[in-house]
Amino acid sequence: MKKMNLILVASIATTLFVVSCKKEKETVTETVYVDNTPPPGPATLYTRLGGINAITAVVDKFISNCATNSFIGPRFSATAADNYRLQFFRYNLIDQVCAGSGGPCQYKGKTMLQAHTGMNITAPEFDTLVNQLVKAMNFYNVPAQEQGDLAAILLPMKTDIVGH
Amino acid sequence: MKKSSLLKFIKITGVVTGLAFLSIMIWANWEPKGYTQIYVSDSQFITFDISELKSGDQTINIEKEISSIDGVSSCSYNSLKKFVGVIFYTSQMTSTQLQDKIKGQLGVKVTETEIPQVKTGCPVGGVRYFIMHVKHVLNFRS
Repeated sequence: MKKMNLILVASIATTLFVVSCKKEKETVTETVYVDNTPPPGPATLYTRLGGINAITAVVDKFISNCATNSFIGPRFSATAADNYRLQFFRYNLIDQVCAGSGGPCQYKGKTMLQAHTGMNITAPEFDTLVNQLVKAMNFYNVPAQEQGDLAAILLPMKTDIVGH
Repeated sequence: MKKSSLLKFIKITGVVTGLAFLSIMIWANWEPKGYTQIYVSDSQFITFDISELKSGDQTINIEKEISSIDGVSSCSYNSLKKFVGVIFYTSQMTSTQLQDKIKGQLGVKVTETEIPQVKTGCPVGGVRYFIMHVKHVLNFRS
């Protein structure tokens, strides 16, 4: 009987010890987890632009601006007029902006140099193209900060696009 | 004898066609569609002559009015040549329906115009884009 009581007390003590240890461990784990969590950083450009729908709206406006422009329109009209070429051109542009701004897309098209070799694009044509992008962003009231950030991603491509 | 030869021919042709179709389907569905291809609907670009429009109308107003039509993704107006280029979602309307809606919105005659084709267009098209299109249409993965 005495032995049984001893076993019972030992069992209760062990259970209490385990439970208390578990609680303590959980608390510690929780604290460590909180301590290791990085502080929330600034939102990506993709998020600030408004995600895939906002990027699609700007890209579509950019394409229609370019295709109707008297100076650079002829460069785009054949692509715009052909349905399946338009889709891939559009997807490539959206992917490029989305991936470049930190979004979940992946650009699978040609490099800028490969895509524009043989087209002999001039600097004024490129500048007009940039103006069409700015017009598209202004149309949808994209803030100046985001316009600048996007330009910083796209403008370095000029060397691969012009004069090839 | 003749009948059995014909049956054999049909059988072989059927197997070869089936295998070819299966191969194309496997190739097209090997990779899932891209994020953009899943979330962005297909669209079409079309141009309309709106030369009957008064010259005082502001470009931005015309673009905003047409862009506000359900199913229109974007609209740009060339005020010199008096035409609009519109990108619209093909799943939501046809080009004729779009033409009627623009006519209703602007209250002038709207005529579809041909888009001039230039060889050095961007990007340079060809067989590659046709193959990519086939792959896109047959890809049922998401």
